[in-house]
Amino acid sequence: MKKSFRILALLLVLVLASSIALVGCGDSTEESGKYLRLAKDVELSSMDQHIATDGLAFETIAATIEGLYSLDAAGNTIPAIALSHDVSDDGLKYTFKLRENAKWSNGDKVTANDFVFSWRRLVNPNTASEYNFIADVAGLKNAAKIVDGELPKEELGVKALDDHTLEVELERPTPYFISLTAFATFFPLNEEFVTEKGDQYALNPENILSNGPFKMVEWNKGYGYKLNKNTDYYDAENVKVDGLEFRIIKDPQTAVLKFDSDELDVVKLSAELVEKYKSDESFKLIGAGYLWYMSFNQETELFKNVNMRKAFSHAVDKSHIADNILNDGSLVADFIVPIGLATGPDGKDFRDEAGTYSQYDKALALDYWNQAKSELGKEELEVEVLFDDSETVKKMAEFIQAELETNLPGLTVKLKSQPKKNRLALMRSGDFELGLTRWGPDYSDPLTYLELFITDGSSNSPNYSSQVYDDLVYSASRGDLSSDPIGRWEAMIEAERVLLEEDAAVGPLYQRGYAFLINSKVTGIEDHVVGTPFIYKSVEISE
Amino acid sequence: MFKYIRNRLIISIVTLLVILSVLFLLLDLMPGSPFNDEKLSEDQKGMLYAKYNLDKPLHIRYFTYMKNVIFKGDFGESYTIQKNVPVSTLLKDRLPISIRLGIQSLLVGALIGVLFGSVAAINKNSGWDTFTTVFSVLGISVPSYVFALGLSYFLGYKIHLFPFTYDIYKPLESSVLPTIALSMFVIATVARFMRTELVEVLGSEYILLAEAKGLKTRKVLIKHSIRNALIPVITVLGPITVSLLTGSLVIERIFGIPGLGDLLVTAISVNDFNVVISIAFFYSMFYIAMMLIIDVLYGVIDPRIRVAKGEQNG
Repeated sequence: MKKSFRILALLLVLVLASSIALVGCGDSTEESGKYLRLAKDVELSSMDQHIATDGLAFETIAATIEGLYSLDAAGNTIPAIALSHDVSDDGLKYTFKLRENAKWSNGDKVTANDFVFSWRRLVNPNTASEYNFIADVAGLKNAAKIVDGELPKEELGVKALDDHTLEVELERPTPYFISLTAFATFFPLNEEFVTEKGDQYALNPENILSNGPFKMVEWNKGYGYKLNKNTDYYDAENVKVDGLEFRIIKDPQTAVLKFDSDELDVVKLSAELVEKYKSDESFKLIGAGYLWYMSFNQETELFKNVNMRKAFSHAVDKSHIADNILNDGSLVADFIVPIGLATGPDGKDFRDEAGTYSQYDKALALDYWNQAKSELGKEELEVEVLFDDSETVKKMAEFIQAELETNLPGLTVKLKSQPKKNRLALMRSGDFELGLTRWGPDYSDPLTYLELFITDGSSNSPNYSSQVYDDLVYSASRGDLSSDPIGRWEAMIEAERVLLEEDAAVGPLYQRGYAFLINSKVTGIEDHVVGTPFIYKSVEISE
Repeated sequence: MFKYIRNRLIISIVTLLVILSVLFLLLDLMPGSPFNDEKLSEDQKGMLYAKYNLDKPLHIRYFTYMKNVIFKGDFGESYTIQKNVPVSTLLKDRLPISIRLGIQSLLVGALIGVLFGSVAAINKNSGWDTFTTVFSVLGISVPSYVFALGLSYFLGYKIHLFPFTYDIYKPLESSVLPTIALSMFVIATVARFMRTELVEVLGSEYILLAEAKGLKTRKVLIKHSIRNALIPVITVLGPITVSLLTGSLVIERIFGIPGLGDLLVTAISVNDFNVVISIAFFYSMFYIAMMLIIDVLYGVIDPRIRVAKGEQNG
């Protein structure tokens, strides 16, 4: 017996020893230089600007490629590849003067043709870009027809007058056109390179060219990727870090532990973690454009009634959702156009001039409720709330259920939770009563929200239809006011009022914010509500 | 023996093809589409469907898919997770990581489990035996992510013994904690089986005979007892492999491991059909291969099984 025990003991020691010995090797790849280390909770879905659809992809592309214009920290457009531009008197023709010292990372010059090629690729139906609608939003001549396959892509209103002069023709004056050129979809592409790579373009770092502050050097799918400073960048002297390191970590707790061990500089916090880090010096709240709202399906008996919709939109204490359920810098929304999205002709934010509409008001809600009940001739009513099956949305739905049942006596609220893909499909087919949904902006103009609710709009989930509203939005987007900055601004303010105050077409809930931990040595991360969520060009890390 | 393996291989391939077909059809029945962005208009969806040939009727898509898989090994492209990237590329980097982690946990777990179980059986009713029993109960009843969280917090974060997130430049060092977390269950199960079996074998008449013949204790133990006790243990390794695969989903999240489990969950939630099919297909393949290996191992350990099976199939 004793002998056998000795053998077993020996075996155990061997196993342990070998595992420790193996552990000992390989400890040499310590990072040198100043790298900003960021954790992300989703994977990088694409580096092709015409295929990408999510914030992480857009911010990574924007770190490697620059367009005609870029954004400063405050969200104003600043010259990038374009030095300046002229606009014709009717606002339909833009002529951009491009800088001559911009280079791609293979040494080629950035030319006007790079923009022509890229924009044609965007509208080419064969590219099947999910963002191709933005070319029509920008007002580019013939964009919609080319997307529909009615015209060849060469008919797009963009041409290169010479290597450094780009001429753009619009179908209608678009006041926000210049700000759109800072969006990744409108960035240039090197025709020769992209054509040569074909369907392999942007699938790995070797198949990507940069003209911006950083270039991709590593991309380990599912794990992370690394961008190094691009020494060929025309403004390289103002890039103060050696690069950016993105690491995909889906568990927020793990990411925070890594932050605490000084292995990461930027980490997004989940709601449960906010409480613990609220007073930490690294704690930062960052506003985002996403706006959540209750969509009242106006094809149902219940929500055909305008007083019913008003009762619902005033009955929920939204501050509880923002401050307690989310607790991450999200703001109560009594509006549909988010804060910080767009500035008007006088340089003021849209929200500073427009009003607020669907405030929480129990008494008012009860009035509308009683009115609606007598109009419908019913005392007891039932409504079904449709929402995503994620944790926070579920908490929010349960809270809304409690609020509605308390503040609107006689109402029974049923909850229906579905995976997001099913929820969207149900809402699209109009198969719901009240849906909790959200919208993120595509460009910095109130229209990116207001156009949602025009009659028969493709994302008009509440099936709202109002001639007054349609006319106001049309005049501001394509009609007589589109070339009158002040007039269209007023029309949009009025449109929002009609939508929320008169018709209560939707019930806004909150504007999304995010809580971050950012290493206090790091400065210069610029966040934006629309387009590129973060711009890293000006990042600095102090010693 | 070779005939037996050959027959088993043929059956395996047929099974895999059936699995692939069922997967394809089941996923087609899933609600929603791979293109779930709230911003997509119907026209754009139509365009995307056309681009990926999803607008074709089911039978045509099915035959094209099967043809591509069988003759070209082409499992299609990812629709959403890594847009337009062939699934094979997507799996290429992750597969070795998952397999490595799985095998490490299985080996470490099985070795330590056999060791624990044997020591416990030999020293029945000692302190060591009680320890093994308690350990087994804990290892089986406590889910692996609890160990994972504990290990990553104490050994990783607090005392910096090992990295608590995966590092592709230090695959071995950084896979120590996840391997331990995953192998707990294996150790517990194997130790329990090993102990029960060995206790039985040690009390049997042929062991008594061997000892009476004057054989050395060591020889009795290794040649006669442990070898015989191993058979049921090997049987249980099959199901353990499966629970390792499913258990790794959570472990991968906690340790930030770019493996298959997490990819599968993401793919299912966003309807990235081709990714789902290929991972599920790989899991099936892995499972069938494990079963085959285990059946062959039986033969190696116990010649009686080899002979019987050989006759049966011959």
